[in-house]
Amino acid sequence: MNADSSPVDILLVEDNPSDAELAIRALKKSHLANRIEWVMDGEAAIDFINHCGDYSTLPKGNPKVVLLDLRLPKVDGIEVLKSIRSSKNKDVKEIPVVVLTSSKEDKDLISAYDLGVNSYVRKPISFDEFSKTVGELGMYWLLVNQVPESIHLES
Amino acid sequence: MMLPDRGRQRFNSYLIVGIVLTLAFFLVPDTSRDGGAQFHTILEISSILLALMVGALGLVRYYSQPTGTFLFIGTGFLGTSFLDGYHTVLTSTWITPFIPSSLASLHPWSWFASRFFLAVMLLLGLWAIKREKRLGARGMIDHRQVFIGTILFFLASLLFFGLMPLPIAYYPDIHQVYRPLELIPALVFLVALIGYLHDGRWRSHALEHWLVLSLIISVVGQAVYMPRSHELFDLEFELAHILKNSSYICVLIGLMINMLFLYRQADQTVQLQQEINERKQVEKELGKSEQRFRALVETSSDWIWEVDSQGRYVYVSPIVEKMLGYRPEEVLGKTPFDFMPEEEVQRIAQTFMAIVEAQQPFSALENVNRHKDGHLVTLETSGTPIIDAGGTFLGFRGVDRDISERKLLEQKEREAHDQLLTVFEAVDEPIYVSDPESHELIYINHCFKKYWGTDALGTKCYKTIQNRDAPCPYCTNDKIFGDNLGQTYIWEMQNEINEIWFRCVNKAIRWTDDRMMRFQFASNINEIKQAEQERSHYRENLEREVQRRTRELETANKDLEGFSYSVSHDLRSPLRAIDGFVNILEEDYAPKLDEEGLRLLGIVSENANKMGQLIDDILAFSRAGRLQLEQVEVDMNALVKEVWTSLKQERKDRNYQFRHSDLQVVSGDIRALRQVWQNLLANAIKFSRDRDPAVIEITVQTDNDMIHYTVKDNGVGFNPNYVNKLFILFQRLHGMDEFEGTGVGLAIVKRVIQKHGGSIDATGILNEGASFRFTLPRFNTIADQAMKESS
Repeated sequence: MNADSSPVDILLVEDNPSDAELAIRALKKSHLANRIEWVMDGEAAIDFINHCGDYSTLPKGNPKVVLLDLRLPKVDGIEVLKSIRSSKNKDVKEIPVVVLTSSKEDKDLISAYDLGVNSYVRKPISFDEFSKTVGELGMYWLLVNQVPESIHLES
Repeated sequence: MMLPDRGRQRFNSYLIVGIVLTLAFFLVPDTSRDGGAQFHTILEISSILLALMVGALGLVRYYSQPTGTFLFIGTGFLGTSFLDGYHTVLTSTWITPFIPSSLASLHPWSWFASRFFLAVMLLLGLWAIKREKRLGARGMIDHRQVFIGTILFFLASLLFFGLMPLPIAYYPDIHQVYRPLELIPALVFLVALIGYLHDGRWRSHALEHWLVLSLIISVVGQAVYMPRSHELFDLEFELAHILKNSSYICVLIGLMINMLFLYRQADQTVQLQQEINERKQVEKELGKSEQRFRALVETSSDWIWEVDSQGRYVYVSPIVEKMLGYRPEEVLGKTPFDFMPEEEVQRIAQTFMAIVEAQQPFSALENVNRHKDGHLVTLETSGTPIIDAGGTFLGFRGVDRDISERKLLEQKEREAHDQLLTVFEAVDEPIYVSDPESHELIYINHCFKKYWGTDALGTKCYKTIQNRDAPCPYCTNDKIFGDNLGQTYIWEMQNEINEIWFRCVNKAIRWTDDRMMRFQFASNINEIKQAEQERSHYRENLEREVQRRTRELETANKDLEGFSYSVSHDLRSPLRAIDGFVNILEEDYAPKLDEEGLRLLGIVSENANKMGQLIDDILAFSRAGRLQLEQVEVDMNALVKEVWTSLKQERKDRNYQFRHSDLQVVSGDIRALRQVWQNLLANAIKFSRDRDPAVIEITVQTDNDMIHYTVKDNGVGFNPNYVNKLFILFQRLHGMDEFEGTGVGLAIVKRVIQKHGGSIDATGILNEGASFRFTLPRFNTIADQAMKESS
């Protein structure tokens, strides 16, 4: 949870503290919470990924997955996704991004997939379902999914 | 025909020649001159040549126009020339030794032979004339016989003189007549002379005239001169020779003149023949032309006539019978007035008289005549005066044409025109007719005068109607004349004087003088124009209003979209938080709560979830309303199968019977239609879940362009009294504890179906089942259309 600590596995971009707390709790249950970085808006997310602004002192390395909400203050989730996918840094460009949102609008789905999102997950209202979904997501992206070699080497 | 005094002259000349020559003998001096053989030979040679010429000429003349006279003259002189030649030869001194006779005998005898032969031949010539006069062409003498006779005589003479010892010719004992032998040819010549004189041709014919002269000379020479020659080569002897030559010359002259005449005559004959031929040709042409004119006159549909100076018909062509009913012979002798009714005679008499007096050509004079059967015939008369070479007026010649039909036609045309004008007058819109060349108004109707004044007739249309000084630049004459003749041109214009709008119809119209004129019918469309303008304003306003409303609607739509988005995103988060933290409470603080506390937390959590469901359904309904249909070909069999399969969860542990016929293909948005089947089938499953077996059936009906689907179940059904509540949002006919649901599904179905241009209704009986029937348009495939066209 600290910028100076060991490299981050999961970057959670979520403006709603309740949702964030629930998500982190779910990840904790799956013992994945010690390498989470939570930012509350799109701008911070972009800074974190590009190691600039408040995060310029961040050690090298990229998160293994970004859990991205779409409705965010300052810069919204679609913009963040666009920024990652259009990055000149090949490693940044290939970071797996999972959209985790309340929206079920076609519009959002289409633009997210157009920009190369890796997965699109809708937040269920039921807490049971929510914690199960988030837990499974964390497990999958950190333990099951294979990423290019370069990401491993640097992490 | 020779004038009598010319015959007299000729006869006198004969007398003079005869007397002079006879008297001249007595003037001959009695000398003992001896001219010698040479001089004789010269004389004889000239004789031979002369005789040869006369003979040749005579024969040529004979063969050019065979007549016995010329045959005998020709042959006679030819023979004479031979005999003279023989005589000359015999009497030349170098041959004498070979001849048994003495020169004194040879000379006179051979001379005698020649003279006698010629005399006989000339006498035969006279005979030939008589014979031909009597027998005509049959009297022609065979020239071969004459030639043979001549040749035989000549040969006989030749042998006789050459071989026989001749008796003496000079008889000095007879007083004054030393050579009496010469009188024999003289006698024959005399007979011939008398014969020719008696024949009388000498009066008119040159040859006979000169022949007579020749005979006179010969007679005198033979009777007077030669007998008195007492010895060879004396003066009488020589003179007789000269006379002989002279007589030859006379015949030569006669022959030449004759031939000259003959040639002239031949020329004249040729000329005459030509003239005759030409005249014949002219006559033939005249005959033809006469025939032609007659045929023309008699077949012409016009009546051709000729009247004398009194106006009486002297010739009428047969067509008159067709025109007036009278036969030509009935008309001859009558005057034109005899065929006219009394009043017409009075009307026209003066005109006719003036024409006759003036003796001038006249044409197209109309006059009315009465046909034999009583009806009136209008004729058109034209004529020219006949005046002879002496300037005397003989009458008139001319034609009458029956113009009754034309008059009738003209009458009808006039009446039709009057009717037309009556119609024009009756129309309460301005009408005018103008001359396209001069732009003058040649007709205006009553209504026209109301707009542009009563004295507009004859003025220029552009001046009167538009107050212009030159033809209007927009003149439409080119639209109805020239290549566009016959076209109707319709246009609208605002009059420049009264500013009234007119709708004008232009067309070329044939006027009374047969010329094409400009016709214009104008209708006042001022009110229509104003209404149109108002309508146009109204339309513009309306359009603006619609645009404004559309913009508003678009804004509203956008707001709604933003609203739904917010709802889906932001309303759900608090619910999730409620549920989430209630769960955390249950997990972390369960030991501190009693059972009631836990139950209450359960209710909070359940309601949060229900509200989530409500939000989702409202969003779905909203999406269905905003849905932009993507019309594609949808195979309903496949779609229903897919939906039925997806509802497996809802059907589990129950016995469902699902039946449907061929569901065909429709045109529609596949996602929306999936939603329809999803909702309807889910409802059917839900409300029949207590039945065993539950039966769900889909039936299809087709008419024209629509397909009707009916989804029927044997479930709990509904009270038909509430059927109108079925499709209303959030309206439910069953309690939440009975059947779960938000009351949104059927509202969505109805929206989707309506969006497809279809409809939906439902029938149901409580506890027996429900059936939902909806209609969609069929998918019109290309194959379908092709089939329609071919049938």
